[in-house]
Amino acid sequence: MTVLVTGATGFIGLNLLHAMTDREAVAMVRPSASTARLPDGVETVESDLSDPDSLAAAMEGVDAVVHLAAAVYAQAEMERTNTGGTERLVDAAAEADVETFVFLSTVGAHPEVPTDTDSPYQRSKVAVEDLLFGQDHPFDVAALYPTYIFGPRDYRLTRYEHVRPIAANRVLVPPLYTYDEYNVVHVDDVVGSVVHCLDERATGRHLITGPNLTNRQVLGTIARHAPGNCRVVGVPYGVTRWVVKPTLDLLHRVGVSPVPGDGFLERGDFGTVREDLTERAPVRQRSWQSALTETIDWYESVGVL
Amino acid sequence: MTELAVGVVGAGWMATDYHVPAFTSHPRTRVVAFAERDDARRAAVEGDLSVPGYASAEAMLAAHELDVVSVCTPPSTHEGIFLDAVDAGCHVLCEKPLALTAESARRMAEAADAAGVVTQVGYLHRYYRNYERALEMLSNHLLGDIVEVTVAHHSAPPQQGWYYNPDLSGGGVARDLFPHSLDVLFEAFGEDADVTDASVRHLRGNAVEDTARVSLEIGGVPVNLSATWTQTDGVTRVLVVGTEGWLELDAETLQGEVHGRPVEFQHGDLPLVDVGVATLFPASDEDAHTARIHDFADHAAAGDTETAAPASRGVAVAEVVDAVYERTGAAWRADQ
Repeated sequence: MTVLVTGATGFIGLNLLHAMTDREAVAMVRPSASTARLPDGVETVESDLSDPDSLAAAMEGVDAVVHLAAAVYAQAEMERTNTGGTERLVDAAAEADVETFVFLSTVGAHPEVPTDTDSPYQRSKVAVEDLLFGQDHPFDVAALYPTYIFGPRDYRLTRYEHVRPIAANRVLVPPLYTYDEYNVVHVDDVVGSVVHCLDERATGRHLITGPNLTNRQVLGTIARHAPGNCRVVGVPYGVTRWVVKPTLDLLHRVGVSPVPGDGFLERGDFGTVREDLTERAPVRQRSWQSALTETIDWYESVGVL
Repeated sequence: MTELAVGVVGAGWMATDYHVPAFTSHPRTRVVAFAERDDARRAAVEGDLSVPGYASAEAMLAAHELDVVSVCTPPSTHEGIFLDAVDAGCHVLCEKPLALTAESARRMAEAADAAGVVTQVGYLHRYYRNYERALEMLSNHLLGDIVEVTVAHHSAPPQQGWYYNPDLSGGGVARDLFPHSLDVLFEAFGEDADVTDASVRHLRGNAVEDTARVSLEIGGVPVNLSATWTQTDGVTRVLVVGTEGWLELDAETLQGEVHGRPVEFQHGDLPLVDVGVATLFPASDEDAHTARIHDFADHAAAGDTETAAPASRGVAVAEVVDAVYERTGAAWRADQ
């Protein structure tokens, strides 16, 4: 089975291709993309989601498509790439003799999970739901909805902001961090789910969720594993609200702090889901702790920790 | 575990401040003899070290069964001492520049290869922890494809007269300072180098240049490298720009961005405290000279010829410096 992988040079793509070295995977890459990080010997095909002719050419001899490519941070490209690009790829797959189409979505685009309508990324993923599941296709369709993914090969350092403040401080107390909640999954769970959909011809929607976690659980686990022996000291929200914020506001007024205290009241949510939707995946999952520790190990191995 | 017997050639500051203490503190090596041509210097150092001093490397090699020879003399003497040491079956740590010319360096590398001894040229920069980190990030393609590298290395004019005599030094600031940077660049991008432009200037009327600049491609990466002997304590900056990030570093500070996410280290360490408005880094006991000499000693003790910078690296470095002098038509080369 020849599998065409879009987004091959991204975080999940690289992990998937490293897990599929004994299979016939073809990495679809943009002409400008660096292929230095791909596993040795992986076949590549140059193609662009904006160019239907190039997609038709890339589909030659392909049995399955794993569509990971998406603009995750560049807002201007989200509609064009994530929505329009997926439409063009689905069209090209329909023209070719593709049997399976696996799409990587995001948790907020799952029908049972409320969508953050302020997020252009989530909107761009919701926009293809009807295309994938509201229409007939000559191939099986599966879609994956992971929460907040951690793991090795995070070349864009997208999770570095959660780790560096801990590795770069001996004691971590507010106001160094705000109150956040997380739902963390291992990138191997996502990779394993993709492979599961290919091997088992599993169709339909699949959540990939871990347990909902508090700030303290996540930061504490990172602190135990990261270099630097950081201690995380929990501070109740009330203290942040009635002591830290007013203090920062005062320091800001007299010119000592460059920012006022408002930021410390923001509550971040990284992928949490309703309690009955936690710990779901089509495959046996890795622990959320291992997702964090293996991310840290990888950061150390490439020199950024 | 047997200790390797080390003989140090040349008893200047490089030998007494770095080589002798480092070989002494390494568990597998001990200094048993040294050679120094200057009688007064030899007598003084003999008293300090309590090991016998000899007037020449030859005499030292004849008097001792040495395992390791470290060469801390002016460049013009390197080839002769190196070949004698290799001939005696010794592993050799040789200070940079390895030789006066690439041709001379090639003879040394070939002799070392044939004898199967462990060699290393005394390049320093890659042993700074910031450089180790930068090399790690580059070898893991963290910056994407590298678009351009700029290196500036400026240092005080050397005190010793031999630096200004091309017959003894093999050239000026290019021969003296380029090697440290070229070693790092070759480590990052391979030894395939192609010089595209070069210029030198003589600011003080010396026979050798005191500023030098070279443009070259190393493994396809465009590099601009400049060095001067000017009144400064020494400043070295490396700027690496890739398609997905950048790094700027010297021995003290490493800063950069990967996909817009900042990275920052001092002496290879993360901060102790970083609260955004203020950053405090740990005190550093970094000692790159000891690190490089110990790394060589590790390889010598293991008989591992794959050192960080074997004599063959010295050949690749000398070829670039030779190319600089060829392009700029250095007048003193006609005499050689």
